[in-house]
Amino acid sequence: MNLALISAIPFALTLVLLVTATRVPKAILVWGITLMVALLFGALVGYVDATRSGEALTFSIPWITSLKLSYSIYLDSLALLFALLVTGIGALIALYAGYYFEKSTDLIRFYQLLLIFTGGMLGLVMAGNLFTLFIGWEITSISSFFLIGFKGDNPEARRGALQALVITAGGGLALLLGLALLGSAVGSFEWVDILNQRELLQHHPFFSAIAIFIFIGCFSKSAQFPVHFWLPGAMTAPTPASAYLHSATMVKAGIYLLLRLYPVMGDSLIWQNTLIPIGLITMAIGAFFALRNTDLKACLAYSTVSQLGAFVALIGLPHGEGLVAALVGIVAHAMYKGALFLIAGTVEHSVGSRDLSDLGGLGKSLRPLALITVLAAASMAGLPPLLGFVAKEGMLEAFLHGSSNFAVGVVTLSALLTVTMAAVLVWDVFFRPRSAALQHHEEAHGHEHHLHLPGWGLQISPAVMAAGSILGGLLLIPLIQPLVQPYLGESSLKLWHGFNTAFLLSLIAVGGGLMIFGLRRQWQGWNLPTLPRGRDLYDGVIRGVEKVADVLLLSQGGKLRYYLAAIIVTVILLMATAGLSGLHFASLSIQMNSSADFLKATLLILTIGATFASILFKRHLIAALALGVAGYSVGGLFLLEPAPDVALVQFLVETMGTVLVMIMLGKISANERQQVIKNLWGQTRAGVFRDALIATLVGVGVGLFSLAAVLNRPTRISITEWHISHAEKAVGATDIVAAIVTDFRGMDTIIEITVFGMAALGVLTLLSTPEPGRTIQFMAGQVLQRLRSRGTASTAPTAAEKELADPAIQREIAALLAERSVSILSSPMTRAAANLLLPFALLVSISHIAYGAGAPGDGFTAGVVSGLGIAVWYVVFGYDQAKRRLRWLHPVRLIGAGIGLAILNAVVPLLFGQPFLVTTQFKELVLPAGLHLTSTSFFELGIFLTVLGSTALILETIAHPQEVEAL
Amino acid sequence: MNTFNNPLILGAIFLPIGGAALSLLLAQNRTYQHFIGLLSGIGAWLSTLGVLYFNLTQGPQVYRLGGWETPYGIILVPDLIGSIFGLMASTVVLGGIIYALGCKDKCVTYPVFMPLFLCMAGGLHGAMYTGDIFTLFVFIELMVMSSVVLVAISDNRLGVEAAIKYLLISALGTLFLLVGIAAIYATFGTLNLADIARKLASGERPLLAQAAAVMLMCAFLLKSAIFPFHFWQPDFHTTAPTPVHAVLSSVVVKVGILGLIRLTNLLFTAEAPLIRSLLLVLGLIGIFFGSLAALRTYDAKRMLAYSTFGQIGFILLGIGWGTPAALVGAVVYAFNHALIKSSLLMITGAISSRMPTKSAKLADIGGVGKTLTLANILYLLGGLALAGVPPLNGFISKVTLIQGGIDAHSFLPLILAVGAGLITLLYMIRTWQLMFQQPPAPELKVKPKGDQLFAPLMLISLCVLLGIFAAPLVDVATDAVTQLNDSQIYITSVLGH
Repeated sequence: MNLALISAIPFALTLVLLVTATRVPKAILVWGITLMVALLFGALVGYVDATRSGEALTFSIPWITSLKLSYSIYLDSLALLFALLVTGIGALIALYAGYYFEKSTDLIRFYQLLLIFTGGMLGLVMAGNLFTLFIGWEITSISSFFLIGFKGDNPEARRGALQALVITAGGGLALLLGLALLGSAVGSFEWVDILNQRELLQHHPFFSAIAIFIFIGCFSKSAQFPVHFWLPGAMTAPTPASAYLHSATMVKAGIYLLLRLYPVMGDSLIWQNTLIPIGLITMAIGAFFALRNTDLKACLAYSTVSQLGAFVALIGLPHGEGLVAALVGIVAHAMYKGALFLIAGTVEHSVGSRDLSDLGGLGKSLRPLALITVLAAASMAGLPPLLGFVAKEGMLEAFLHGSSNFAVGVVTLSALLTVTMAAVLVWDVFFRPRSAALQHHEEAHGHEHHLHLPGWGLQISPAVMAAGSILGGLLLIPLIQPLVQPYLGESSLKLWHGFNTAFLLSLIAVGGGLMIFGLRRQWQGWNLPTLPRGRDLYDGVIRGVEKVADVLLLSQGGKLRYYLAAIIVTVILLMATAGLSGLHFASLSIQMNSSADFLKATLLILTIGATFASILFKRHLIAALALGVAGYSVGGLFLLEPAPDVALVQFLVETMGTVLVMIMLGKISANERQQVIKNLWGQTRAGVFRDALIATLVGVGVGLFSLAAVLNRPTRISITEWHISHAEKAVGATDIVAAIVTDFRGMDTIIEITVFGMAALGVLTLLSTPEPGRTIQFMAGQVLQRLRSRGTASTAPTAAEKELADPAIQREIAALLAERSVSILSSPMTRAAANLLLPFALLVSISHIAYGAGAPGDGFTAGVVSGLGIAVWYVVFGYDQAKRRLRWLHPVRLIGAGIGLAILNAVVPLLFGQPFLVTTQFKELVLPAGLHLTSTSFFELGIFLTVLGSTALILETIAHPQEVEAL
Repeated sequence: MNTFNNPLILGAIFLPIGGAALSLLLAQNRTYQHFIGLLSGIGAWLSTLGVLYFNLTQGPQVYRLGGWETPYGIILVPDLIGSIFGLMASTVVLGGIIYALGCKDKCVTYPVFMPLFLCMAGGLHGAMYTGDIFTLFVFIELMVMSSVVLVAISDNRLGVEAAIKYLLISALGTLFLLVGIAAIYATFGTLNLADIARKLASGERPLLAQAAAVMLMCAFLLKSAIFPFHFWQPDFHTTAPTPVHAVLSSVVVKVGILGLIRLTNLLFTAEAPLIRSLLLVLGLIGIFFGSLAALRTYDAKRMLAYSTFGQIGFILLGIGWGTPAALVGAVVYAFNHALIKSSLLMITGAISSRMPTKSAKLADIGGVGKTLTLANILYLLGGLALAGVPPLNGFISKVTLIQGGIDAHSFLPLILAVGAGLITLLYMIRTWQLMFQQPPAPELKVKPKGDQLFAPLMLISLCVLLGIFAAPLVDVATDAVTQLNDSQIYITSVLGH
């Protein structure tokens, strides 16, 4: 079978499950999955011979070559050992799960996750590329997250899942960094290349960083101190998942990676100095805490933590002393701990509890299960002739050879506590007299129902694993040795090493362990100081991070003025330090030569004065007029420059702006406006000072900037010269501004009119969509107020609705509306003037469009002029009447038509093979009155329509009496 | 030099704007409007795809509008990086249009919604493609004005306030941009990016060049909501209607990113080291500020808005490191983030559309998605992609960025950034658990119908595909960066030799 397929098959199966699972009978589903995984196991067994010599099988498909990512396989004896564990245990778990889950939807979900995990784990251990490994690593973390949170309704499960994910994925991030550094140090991300580069790697400046980051990754995954607590917290997972992921396979991924890296990193100081202490601490803590729990699964989880610590410490031993012991230990641990977890599940399934204090005396009714448990626990305790014994002897031997006496002491102590734990498991669950609670339970439910006897399906998998422990111990040479051959070299595995120091220590451990077990009545009563729990530590860290976040969030207070202040101050700082740092003013001389210059100076002073006035005037109307004066003065400056086009636009826009502001002001009640003034000037002196300071700084900055711009007039060629010289020749326009606006930079104009149109639509939509009912409520409120002031309405607010239904009040509302819509400016003379003004404005507009190319004025000014004509109508006639008279005006359609015409005019040349927006001059066409027809005229018309539509729309919207009041 | 004026370039910009005009004329009929919107969205998407294709086969594309010689007229220059960003934008925009078609928000039914949305899209595409700095300003203005109105008409009443705040802040940004452009024009007498770049490359530094650089940088920082110009972003984005939010938070913020890339790699190449070190610092601040704020904010939509703030920080790191590998990281990150973030926002919007109050407040939405399997899976995939979990596209972004950081030998920022990735995972998964795993509150009445999930399904599928088949994107980004690093390629393809 192709190697690449092996890890892909589980993923493929997941997809198959997704489609077919619900239609397949349960038995076929269970056995199908079990057999498929078992087949993978069988296929992998076929590679044992190929790898026992130390060779590696490789395979590679490129994935992202520029990132050196490939999908590659590297299968040596180490990878194979883990792959066999994953598939072998996986098949047993799949079988067990088939009888564990009661709801078939749960089972299918579990199988999907199990298969994803199996694929990820196989990908991890068989990976030939660091990134392939990492992908597998993350897939296992994620599937673990889902399995821990399998019962999502339980808050504890969600919490444990998130905690485990944060810790393992956090470690995963460190690992990613470590692997990326490793790959860039070696120049390749393939194990094939990396494993030959011991020298290069150990002398590389990145070496320590690589080691530390990879350690963080491995430790977090393999539940080492100080993040070991996620593993006991993960016990909310369904028991088959705990047995599989959280004891037999996934948590050993970190161990796997350490073993993998041993050849290139193992003989460095940082390796030994980190792994041994961390491993030993974890080992001791795990063994100790296992005894302090009463939840069966928590006991097993802590005992797993202890074993994982032992493996890490073993791998840390120099000269590869501990590798064989670690490998044998991994196999042994997978067998007995997997079995014990499954037994815990079976017991829970039968009794309904997995708390040691609820259990006891199950030996009689669950005789086969008791036997299996005894075997598995014996292997855990390290009794001969089980595989656990070989593992423990090997471990003690390795520490005796390669480490200090202190380490040997810690290991022996941990082994001793493990023996106690094993004894507790067997005795408390199966042989101790039944607890009072359980007896009570029995009585309550009658003798027959108290035990839900487990079927064979829930016993066969642990039985096979327990049998594996015996067979592994007895048939050490044919079964286990081929898997670890490359690490053994010439020597071979032995069950019995003779009476040596290790055996002596082993005896001490067993004896001491049983003694502690015998004395547990005493020590269980001890009041030990409560140690800080890892979970609290995690919560503390998360809370701390959240506190920091809360402080940061204070800056998002929602006050616009602080936002603006921060932005402006930043820009001032940046400009002061970088932007304007190189400024120098060579010579600045002011010359006043002509009367025009004096006029300009006057206008400048007028502008400044009017602007100041607009700030200081506390009446909005006058302030708006002052601003208008400032705008006109600027227009005057343009006119004197001379830039008649710009000046014309400036005058028109200023007029329109002032008119709009005045109409709007009339719509806002005096009280509200007074409030705004108060807010502005009523703030503290410091506030006013601050605002003034910022404003001054900005002013000075802009002043310096403009001054520099003036003094720095380019002596080099500007595109303007080209525009001037080409305007008439190329475009047929004598007016350069018109040529630029409609030809050279025509697209800017198309976009700008669209912007204007969109802004107008915004005004329309914003001001004409009040909350339903708000208008009438507002009006009613006003009417009521008025009536109350006359004393004709009752003051009870609850009567408001009844009063509204009163015809008299409705008449009053109608009158009020009419009163508002009739303008105070409406008089026969103004009406006549307005009637004249609009047609005249339209005429002016036509001339602007027609002569746009040769004289000041274009489509834009035409639109504004007509818009002003309409504005006068709204002001003079009031909303209702103006609207009635302007029924022919559809502003929204005008906008659409205008933009559409402009684009159409631009697109037409494309049909003739010309570029977008090319101007066509119809020279043959002779028109009277000096008119030139070019395609630009259509463009101008489009501009006119859009601008007219937009201004009309804005005017119509803000002149509307009710809606504006509603806002 | 390629003188062929490829009309596809126009399609990306003027199909949406023309569609907007047409749908204004047909404002009475919503079906026509939707049809026009969808068609112009698809057309624009195909155009951007075509532009990218022609870029790969023929090199940078140049469109001379009106046929004027450069640098005297306006040109559109989608070079490789511009076309990548254009494709990114049009993909999300198309997703947004499709989402809007199946959206239950009231504002989506307004006759002005589709025209505004299309104009925003047109401005966005134009800003990615333009080769003229003033036209950039104009396109940004179109984009800003349309988006402000879109936010203001949102069903969320707070939209008006947020829109007005943004309008004022954005006006400031527009002012910076305008002042910068004025300074450029005053000193170099040209508005054409390539022309400016050539004049700057010749080494002359007139008085206002530096000021222009600062002003342009500030404008781009503001457009991309980068610290300390970011204050408007959470309010403005959160209150937006869902399809608009998806576009704003994923691609509109990238306009500034493209601007910053142009600033450092095309225009001010000599000053680039200084700008880059500033961007690096701002990026780190953004990463932590954004991610932490996302962790602690009270609303699922707002969380994603803050998250954008953080994710933009990662992109800034890539630009700040500035080495080719790091820039590839930034480009890949930007592209993938757009897809992920927009789909996440759409899913969140679809979830909150099933709430009686349309709220996305974390306090309210516990367990709302419990029965919505598709939303569940999509949100999870999106969340994991955002956190950079393989084999999704976010992982590819992360790997490219990390390789870039190692390449730049900038370890402290790299470690900090990678560490901050954990916060992303934490807030995404926590919210997923809240919405999809936790049992709903008993009094909660989930509406049976809400926004359609077709658009996020499409975008998330892209995320998965771009994770598994990541090579094309990474390769194109690598080519784009090769092109970026030799600004002569851009200059000569516009101006000739």
